[in-house]
Amino acid sequence: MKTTLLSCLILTLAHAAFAEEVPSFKNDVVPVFMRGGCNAGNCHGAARGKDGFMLSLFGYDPEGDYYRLLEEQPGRRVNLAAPEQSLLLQKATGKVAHSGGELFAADSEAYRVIHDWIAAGAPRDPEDTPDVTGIRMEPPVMEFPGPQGNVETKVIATYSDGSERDVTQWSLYLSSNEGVVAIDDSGVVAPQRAGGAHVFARFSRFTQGSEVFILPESDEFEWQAPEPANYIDELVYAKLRKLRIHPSGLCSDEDFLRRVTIDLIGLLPTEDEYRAFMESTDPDKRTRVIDELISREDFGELWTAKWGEWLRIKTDTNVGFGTAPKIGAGYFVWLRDQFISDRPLNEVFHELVTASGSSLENPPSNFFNMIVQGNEPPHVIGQNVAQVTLGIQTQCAECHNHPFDRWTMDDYYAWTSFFTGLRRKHGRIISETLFTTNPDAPLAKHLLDGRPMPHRFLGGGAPDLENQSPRQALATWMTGQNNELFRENLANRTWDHFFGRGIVAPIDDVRISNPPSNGPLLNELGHRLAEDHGYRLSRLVRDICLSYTYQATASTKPSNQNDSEFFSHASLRRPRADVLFDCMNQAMGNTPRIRRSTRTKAIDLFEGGAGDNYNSHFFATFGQSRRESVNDSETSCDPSLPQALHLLNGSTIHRALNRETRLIRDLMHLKQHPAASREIVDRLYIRCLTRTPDESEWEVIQSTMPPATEKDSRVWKRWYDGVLWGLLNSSEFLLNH
Amino acid sequence: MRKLTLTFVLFITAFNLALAATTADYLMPMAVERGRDVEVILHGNRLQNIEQVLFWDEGITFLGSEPVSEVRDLHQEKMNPAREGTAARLKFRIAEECRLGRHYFRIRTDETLSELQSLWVTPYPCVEESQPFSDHEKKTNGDFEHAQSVELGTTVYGYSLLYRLQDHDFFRVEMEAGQRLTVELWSDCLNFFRTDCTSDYAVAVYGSDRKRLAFSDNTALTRRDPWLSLAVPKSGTYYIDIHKSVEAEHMPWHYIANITGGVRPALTYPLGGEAGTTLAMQLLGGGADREAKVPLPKRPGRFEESMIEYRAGEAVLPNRIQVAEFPNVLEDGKAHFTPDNAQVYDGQLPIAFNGIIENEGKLDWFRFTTRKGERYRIRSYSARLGSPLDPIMTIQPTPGTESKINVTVDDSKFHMHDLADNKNLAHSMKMDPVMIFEPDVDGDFLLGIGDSQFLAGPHHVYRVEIQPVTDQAFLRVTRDYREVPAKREAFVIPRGNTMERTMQFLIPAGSRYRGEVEFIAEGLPPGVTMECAPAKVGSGWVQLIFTADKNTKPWAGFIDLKMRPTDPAAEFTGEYLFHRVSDGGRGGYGDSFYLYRKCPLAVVEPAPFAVRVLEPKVPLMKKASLEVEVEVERRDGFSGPVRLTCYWTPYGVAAGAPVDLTAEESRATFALSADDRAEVGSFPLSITVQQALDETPDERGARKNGYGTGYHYVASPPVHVQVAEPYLDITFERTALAQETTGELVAAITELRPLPGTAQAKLLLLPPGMEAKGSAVKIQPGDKTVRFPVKVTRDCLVGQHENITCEIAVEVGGQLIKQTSGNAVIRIDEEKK
Repeated sequence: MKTTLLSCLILTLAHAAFAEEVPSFKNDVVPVFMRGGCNAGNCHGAARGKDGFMLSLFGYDPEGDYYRLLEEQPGRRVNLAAPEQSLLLQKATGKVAHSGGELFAADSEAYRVIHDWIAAGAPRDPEDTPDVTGIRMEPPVMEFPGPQGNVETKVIATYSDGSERDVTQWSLYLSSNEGVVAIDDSGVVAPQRAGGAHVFARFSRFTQGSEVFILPESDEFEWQAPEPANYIDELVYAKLRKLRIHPSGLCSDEDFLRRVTIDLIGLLPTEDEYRAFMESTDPDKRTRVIDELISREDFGELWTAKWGEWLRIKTDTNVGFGTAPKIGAGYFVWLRDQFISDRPLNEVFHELVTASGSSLENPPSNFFNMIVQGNEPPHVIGQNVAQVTLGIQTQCAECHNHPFDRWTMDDYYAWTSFFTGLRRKHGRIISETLFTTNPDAPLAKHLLDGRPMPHRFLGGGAPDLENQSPRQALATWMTGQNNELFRENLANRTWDHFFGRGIVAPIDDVRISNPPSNGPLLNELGHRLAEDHGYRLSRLVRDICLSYTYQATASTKPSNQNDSEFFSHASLRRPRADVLFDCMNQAMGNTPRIRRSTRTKAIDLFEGGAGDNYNSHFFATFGQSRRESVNDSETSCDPSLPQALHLLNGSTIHRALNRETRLIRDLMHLKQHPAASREIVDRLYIRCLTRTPDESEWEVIQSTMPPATEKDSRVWKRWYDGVLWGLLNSSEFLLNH
Repeated sequence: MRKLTLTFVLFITAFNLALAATTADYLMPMAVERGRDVEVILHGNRLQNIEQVLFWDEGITFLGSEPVSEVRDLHQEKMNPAREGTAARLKFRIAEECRLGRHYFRIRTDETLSELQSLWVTPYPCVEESQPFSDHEKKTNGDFEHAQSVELGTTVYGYSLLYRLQDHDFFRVEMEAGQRLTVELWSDCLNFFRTDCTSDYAVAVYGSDRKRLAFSDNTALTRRDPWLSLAVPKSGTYYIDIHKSVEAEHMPWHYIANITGGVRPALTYPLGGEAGTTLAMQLLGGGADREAKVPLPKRPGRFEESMIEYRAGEAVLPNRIQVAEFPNVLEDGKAHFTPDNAQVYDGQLPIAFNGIIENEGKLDWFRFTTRKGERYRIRSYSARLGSPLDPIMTIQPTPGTESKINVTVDDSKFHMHDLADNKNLAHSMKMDPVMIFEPDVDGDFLLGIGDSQFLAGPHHVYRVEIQPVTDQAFLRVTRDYREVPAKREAFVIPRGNTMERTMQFLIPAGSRYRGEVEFIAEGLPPGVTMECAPAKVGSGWVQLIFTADKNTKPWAGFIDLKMRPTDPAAEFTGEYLFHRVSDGGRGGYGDSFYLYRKCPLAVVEPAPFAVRVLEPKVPLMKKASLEVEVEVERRDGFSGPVRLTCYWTPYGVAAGAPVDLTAEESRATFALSADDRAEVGSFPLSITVQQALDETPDERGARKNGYGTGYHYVASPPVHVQVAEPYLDITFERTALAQETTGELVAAITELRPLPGTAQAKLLLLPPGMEAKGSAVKIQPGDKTVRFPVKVTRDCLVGQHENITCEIAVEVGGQLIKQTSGNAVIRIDEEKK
């Protein structure tokens, strides 16, 4: 406590001493603009400014701001002879008409800073004026015993000359979850309800956060959880325990089998698999099922389908465009081989990033082709590569420093320099494209001043380009064991598949202001993937599936019923469109007709359902990615009314039941009716829901059964079709639970 | 199912319509064995009277043809009755010494010369795959169990069925350990079907254990067509799987697979040599890594022979070797990776540098001496000859040479070549850079060559030729997309009639001659003449007009079409070139060229109509129009509608749209107009007639052939139209008028030529609300001004109006000549109140 008081005293003194000096334009005046919202995107920070006056967005260009204040229209905005008469101050204080209204009073600190700066002659900053090098928010962690009370935070900026300064009053604040915790304009944190969240402060180009825990009010919390199965449970439970949230218990064997089969191979358990699993008394039978499923080629195919979307494998009938169907198919087959052979992901990405040559003969060379779908400028390639491989969205920094993350324009263009040498040209036939890197390609130029930006990794240093090309350097850095951005991106995407939510969500928007819901867990998953598992996807997946966290039931307890981000219970997830399509056809015993492919599973289609005219309506309705961008959000598993209508009335189920599948006929041929009805209904239940109907369900079903005297097999078939149709339309079928 | 059937029927109907417009559609099978008498089926239309088969090369003799009553359908699923004239059995004798590979031909019927077709000659017995006529692929050759047994040294003719997404054809061969198995496939290069369809196969070889031993899809040598060669590890059964390289619905694909036991070089080094020498070269890849000696022709010859084909062992697909008039320089095996230590060549140009890029990211450098004022074409040969190298080439001066030339080129455009290649593929040709090099100083220059992707390997062979640029140009048939383009590619003259063909200049980069040339046809049969006025090279298009005397015997053969400069001192060569992207390119992206010099021409039986243009009695004046009368004569019972088209007029002269004549009509007027860019003088005018669109249904209810028979295009004997300066020039004065008033537009007259009589002038393009008062204004010879009374109503918008002109009509010799002149500007003011 003594230390804190002392440091506050020192900071106050330092600030006072600072205040007596002539205010600095970039360190004092620009922060006033930012705090006042003057340089926000909806005000003068807009691309063309506002009402004839423009400032750089969030102050990314102090030189330009100085010019526009003082030199663009000399004497208009700043009155050096009578500072208080400056239009700048009169507008800000509402003394003259101002679209933005009154921003501060004449007796405020903000007014004083600007007034004093003008009174001193509105000087340019000396060349040795220190730059902000970072900020920290204090306290870094806040714990509230309940949704009462509040805490004042403090934001300390550090400068390039080693000094520090309290910039609390000049910072902007936001909360990651307003429902859990609020923070006001002065940095006061107020808990709202039990839970965990982050609050953030933004000053200059930096954003920094503090973690907030708000505990339930009840004192009667007694931690109850299974013994952790592995490190995942330990880290999940640690967070839950901190938040006084109980994890749900383990799911039933039936739920587990259905869940893990859909998640690992994109299919439903067969009747035989169901019976074998349910009859097994092996205490390790869950482990055995996981290992068996992972060893199947379907496991690799499912991940190929997912990565095929993220990598945008998409073709075009204009073969000269460079994305001919044969190119896409070859790229997909190559990717499939990598996943089926469980090749380390760092090797896969190293090959993708460095691949050159023919798009036909060397499929990974299509990485830069497909990810932007054609001939796009280097900065677009850079954006997409960062988003897919590192989970980072950098596009804001193309025009201004990222407002909610650490990426500056310098970072953006230094990263773009890695891609300026990429070159594509036609090959020996029209559909072939050749990819190469020009080592002498010019560096990317900064948007503001056109200066060439030497290569620099995002969040990393400069590469050694003495003996390697920029792409080789990039690949080596990217796929290194210690690259947390890369390994945690892969881990997070993997985790998201099994829980329907990433530890960082959305999975491709990693930023300071979007922190992981369980940082240690994400960190450990990345560490394990890279260092323990040698980037082998199957091993990380095995860890996840073996954890009790994954095997938890979807049923909730009072303490975890509101939890949607800390993985205290399983969530109900609608499978992806292609997986649902495959499961549906599998349940119906149907081999679907797929246009332009001899494949029978949707996950095996190299560009999704885009070329499958027969079923494209299903894929579109159920949110299959159109691969228009690398955004994960293109794949939607959200329910919608058209989906329900399609299942009720659409062609997919009706066509199969009425014309294509022989499932019901085959079942009926085996048995007598109505004596065998229960057995057949049981089998339909197992095929669809991986369980048998309970007695109450059977009673309802039985009540609709044709009379026992009915001899017309068509009547019986219609009835069985109806049962199957009902099962396929049930939410229990449509959701992985 | 009903919808599917309907779609299918519509497709087939459209398909048949397309077929109906052509004579020779496709040939099955396309492969025949050398040294045998063979029979193939030609599918097409009006094949009743096949009189001749015109092959470009020697070695194949046409023995005769006979009609076929039953043919396979395109799906290869069943036999269908063949309608009369839609299929014919062609009988050929293939000589023992016949060149292997593609043989182009056209057939001559009594009425036309057909589209280009090709027959492929192999040295091996030909068998068909066993799949056709089966709905059950797996019962024939669709899997390992049902693989079709073949011997080494067999050519298989195979198919992929229409609409089938994938089609595996399995073949089995019994092999001894160490024996070589080579599969060479022709498919995309066949251009089997003359519609937009490329084919793309892959080949895999499996061992007895059914594990894959080798696979080939695209290759540097043969692009889309695969080939592979391997020495089998042990004795036993080996399986060859030929299948589509990617699943897709396609048009029917055919292939010829040569299954042999010989070596198959991927490439040779060097890729060329000097004519008259024996080239010592290294065979690379395909089990053929050894040296070979090849005697080269004494002279490179015309460009068909500038590249010879070389076959090693039992290889059917050739390697191509460039034959040059100058010697080779081979890289000396030392590292010449920088300009500083370039390999020095101190001899004379022209020369060819040869080497292999074996180090990634490195360029090979050569140093040579040139003199200012010389012009060279520096051309690389790599990708087009099958090398995996994608060359990039740099020319720069040595440090002591004060030159500003420092050029790096990667790809090339077609016109950069001198077109002296044969049967190359468009895209691989473009990969080889070409540059025109004109040294600006005497001194030493450096040539650097490497891979544009910085790749390297033992097969990355290059050859760079530096040779003087010569002035040359080519004449090619323009592609006419208006009506049945393939029909107009061939020169077909009905006896006693005339035909015309528009030709285009094709000028290679670096060729500077733009002087006048005359056009010569050598080898015309007796009774046939050609007419074409001299023209300047590059002056747009020219029109060749052929006339066959009525007593000329039907004939088909090759003529030499040449251009000769009218200035005897000019050094220039010009000749005919058939240059067309193959039909195999979907969406206009052709991957291969037909490219040859011999020009086919045929004289056929008389056409059922003729046409003549009545020679105009007055000239066509600049900025004026002229109507010429055309008269069609129907013969031999023909009484249908016809269409008249003017395909060619000189620069600055335009012809009207095609004119259709009903069955009852035989005369029409054709409008010609000239702008002020037209050259004063005369030009030959020839109008083409063909049978017009035939809407009558055939016996199946389908519409008949598009435009008439599609087989007869005859032209009028040329008449000479004079182009002259106009009589008058009109210059309007600027005028201002108010709404609701009347006034005059006044124009000054300049008489450019004596006006032969009274002219009538009237205003054109008046704005809405302005009307000319009264009838046309008369202009007498000697008048200096003309006044046009006009009325301006309230509807005429206030402001400035431009582009008002006047039409002047004068009657000369009973024919009305109309010209336009003047450009009035008039200001309209508001109504005065």
